[in-house]
Amino acid sequence: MKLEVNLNGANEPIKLTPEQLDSLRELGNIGSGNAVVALSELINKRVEVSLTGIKIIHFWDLNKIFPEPDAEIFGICSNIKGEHNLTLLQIFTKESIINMINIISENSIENINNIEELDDLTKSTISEIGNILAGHYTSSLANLMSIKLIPDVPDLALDTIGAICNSVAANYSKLTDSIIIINTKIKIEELNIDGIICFIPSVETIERIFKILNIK
Amino acid sequence: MAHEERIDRIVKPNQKGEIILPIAHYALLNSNKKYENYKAISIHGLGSCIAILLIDPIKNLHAMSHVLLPTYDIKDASQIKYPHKYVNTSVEDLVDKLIQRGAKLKNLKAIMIGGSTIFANEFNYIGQQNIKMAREILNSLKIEIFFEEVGGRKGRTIIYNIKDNLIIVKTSKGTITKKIN
Repeated sequence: MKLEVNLNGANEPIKLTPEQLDSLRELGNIGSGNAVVALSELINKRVEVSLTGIKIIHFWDLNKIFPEPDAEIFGICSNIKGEHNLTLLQIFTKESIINMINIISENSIENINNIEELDDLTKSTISEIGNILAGHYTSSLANLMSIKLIPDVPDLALDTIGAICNSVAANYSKLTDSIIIINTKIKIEELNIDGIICFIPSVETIERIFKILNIK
Repeated sequence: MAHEERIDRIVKPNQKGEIILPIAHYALLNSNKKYENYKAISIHGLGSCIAILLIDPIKNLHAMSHVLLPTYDIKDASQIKYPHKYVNTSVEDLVDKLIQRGAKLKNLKAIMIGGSTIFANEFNYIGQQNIKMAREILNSLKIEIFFEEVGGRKGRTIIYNIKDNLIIVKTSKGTITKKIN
């Protein structure tokens, strides 16, 4: 099942110049480039990761980029604390996660009804994938800001897009209004996986990012 | 600010006649007026948020909000731009608006939906806090909680069918339908 995403569904609260957009894309590309190497090593298979879109949107518009709010997805949420606060939310279809697990651990899971039913090995595999992706995207942001950003072990959720975005909003609502969305494509051999990576920074962090990228 | 000018009020339904309530927004209906284009007020994907519906069945007035947090933590409550972001200010505002339109506090009934815990290792249980605050406020105003579908670990979708006066709650376990008076 494809992850239905329409980045144009949400308004662009900040109009980016072509240079600013390029800088943001660079951020996303570096993150995906590094993630490829790490994922390939983890699963010993050919992996390609590419960025198919990047946008800055308002937090409350997050579910506007998903035309199917009742579609069931996996949410992987990583908290990053330290000098700057940031939360990284990754969204994949349930099918994508199942396919990834089956390739990585040579399993043959057909369906997942809830996270509680997963065995520890499967849960930690999902966590590890999330952690690798989170780590590499945040390290590219950390390089941009010349600081260290290390994500905590991710928290998992399996629910509808609406419910997951809703809960992230509640848990991280003190953070900024603006979030950075990266539309990502992961290819593991013949398997195509669409994912969304959202950077949800604190107010101070997004101000710093904007300053570095010259965004008002 | 006058009700008609409020930025957090949703008035227009989408092409399907559905009013989708985003977080921290509210909708107000007087069912005595004609709402030919309005089929439903919905929230697709209630996670830890809570939907509060207040009804005066005698005057046929309905108000619904989509609330994020139990209460605010800023010092000056008059600085709050979005009262429906917080359970306590949301209930106060809904009651206020309903009474302005002729509802009577003693006739009001409430419906609460949501307040789940979605993430596996969630540590602050905002969903639970929202439910608790909603109960406290409604009890203190002596508003009867006529129906609730709250808590648990899964999200819900709520559709308030205006024409048939039905609340439809979709959960992972199935669909619950409740007729309002």
